[in-house]
Amino acid sequence: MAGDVIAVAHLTRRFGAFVAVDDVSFTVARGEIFGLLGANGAGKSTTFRMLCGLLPPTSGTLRVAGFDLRGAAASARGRIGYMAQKFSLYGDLSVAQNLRFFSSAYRLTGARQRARVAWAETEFELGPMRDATARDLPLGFKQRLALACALMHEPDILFLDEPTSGVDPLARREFWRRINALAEQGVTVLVTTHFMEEAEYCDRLVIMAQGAVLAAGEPEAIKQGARTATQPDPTMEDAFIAVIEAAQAPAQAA
Amino acid sequence: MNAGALRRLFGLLRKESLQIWRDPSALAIAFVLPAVLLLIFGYGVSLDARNVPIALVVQQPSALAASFTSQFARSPFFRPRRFLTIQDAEQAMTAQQVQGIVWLPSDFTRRAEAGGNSPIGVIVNGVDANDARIIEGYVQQVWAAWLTARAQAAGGRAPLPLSVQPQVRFNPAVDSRDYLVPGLIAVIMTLTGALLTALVIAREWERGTMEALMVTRVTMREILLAKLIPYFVLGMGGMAASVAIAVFLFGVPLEGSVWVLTAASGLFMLTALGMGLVISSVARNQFVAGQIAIITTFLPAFLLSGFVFDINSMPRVVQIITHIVAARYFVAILQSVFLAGNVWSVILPNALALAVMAAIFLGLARAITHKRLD
Repeated sequence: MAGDVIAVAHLTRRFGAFVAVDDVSFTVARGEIFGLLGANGAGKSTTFRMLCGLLPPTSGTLRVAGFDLRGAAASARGRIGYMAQKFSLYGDLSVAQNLRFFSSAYRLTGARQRARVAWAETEFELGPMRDATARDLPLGFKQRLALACALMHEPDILFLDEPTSGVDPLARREFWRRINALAEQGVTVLVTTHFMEEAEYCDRLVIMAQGAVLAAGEPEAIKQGARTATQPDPTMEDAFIAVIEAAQAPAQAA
Repeated sequence: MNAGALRRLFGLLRKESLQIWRDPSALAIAFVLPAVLLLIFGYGVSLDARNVPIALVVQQPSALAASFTSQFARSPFFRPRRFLTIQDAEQAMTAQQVQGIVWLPSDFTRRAEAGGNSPIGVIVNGVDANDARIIEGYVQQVWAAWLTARAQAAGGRAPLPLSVQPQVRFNPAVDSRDYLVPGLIAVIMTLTGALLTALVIAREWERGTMEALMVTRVTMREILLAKLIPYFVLGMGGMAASVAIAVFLFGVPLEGSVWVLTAASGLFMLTALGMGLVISSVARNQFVAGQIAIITTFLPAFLLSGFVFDINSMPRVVQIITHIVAARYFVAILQSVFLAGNVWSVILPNALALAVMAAIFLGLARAITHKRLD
């Protein structure tokens, strides 16, 4: 599809004998919220790191924002924002210092830099906390600050690796409201999660286990696929379990 | 480097300075660590024998024996203790209460006055071979001084046909501390420099901030420069503090120029920081990085730099190995600048070697550090 912002084909990553990502293919269209759903160790973060150009793939092709990441990772980087799973801002710096630093790292200068820092402080309600040390912020604020830092340069694509783990349900809903607003503005969002109910926020998603994609499609379609006589109205969790069990069944039979 | 890159570098430098200010562990490595090590080693390591406890056994007291033993009491090197029998003295040496025994046998006075050859016994504890040799030398000095004094008192000429007049150059006080402290600074700065860069980058890996940096448009060259510049400044500050301790606290003379010292220190600091950068690209947590820094920089510098163990008396193979120890060149420069002055024939070749070492380590760091997580 011409409108695809991300195209992944036969992506594989091995660490020695261990296959972390095994022949994964998918495409993501502009403005889509695309989910990678799976348990810890399913290969989501490794896929993400390859998409962000942090890890070279063993084989397969990757195109992000029109750039082949093997050759033009630097050009692609100006178009992507990345929020790591672990809080990865400078804990010993203040909120304002972190915003300023990351905006400069994304090559913002002068009036534009000041405008973006001001935007982040207003948009994410960080103004009152601007002089607080990042390490001492409540978790919800840390997460907002991390998102703000990833958005300083107005990226076309946003990668969110387990963005809401450890955050309370209210803050999580608030977070998704922001993500939806971004997607409506045309930002493509890739998100990994192991919260089944969060999968419902995605336009499309893939279910991953042991490095491979087991199911792909819209949340509703994936749920419908798990419908049985005993489970006429399966939840995403039911669907997830059904998909995993179906994948394991042939292996057990053999 | 264009204007944008320069501004980005300033952003990184600003962040690094803020971090140093907010988390003073780097300040501790740059200033507290060298000061503490310098004080410990400076006060603890001394190759001089002073106030060495020594046993004097005089089996038959006489005026002659008394004048001889009083020579020991006057010597700054010895703290004599008297024993009546050689057995008691040997027991004291076994118990490490004395380091050596000077024994005047019962026929000492009789044979000396008869004008004959009058032997005295000297027994030295050889467990520490270095100390033993020093004590032996001091006993001979005291003996010779006594003979000369006696001969002069008798109005005659010295009974020795020739006399040795030792003349020591470049360290006239023969104070081993003057000699050790400059070398010690080189050894300590190796550790400080390597730790500064190795630990701060390992810390960025540990906290995940390196990952966050890597997805931005900052280049690896900018990241490395942003580490090198502030920690170079800190390391040179630590160096200045160490020199101040050496000169003002230990009273080590500084014969050469401060500018030569600064330039050589700059070259050496770049080498040490470069080693730290190389370590950090291998070790991604602070504990491992610290261990590697101590094993690969501090130990070789301590053993193979020639700061206390003379390189020329090492086996040939080991001598060749010392050429890859950067501290070796810095020790030579520091000992020259502190004790002898600007001896260009020593300073220039060693400075050149340091410049080569700095280029190798910084180049290696640049080559092996990639914007990748694997």
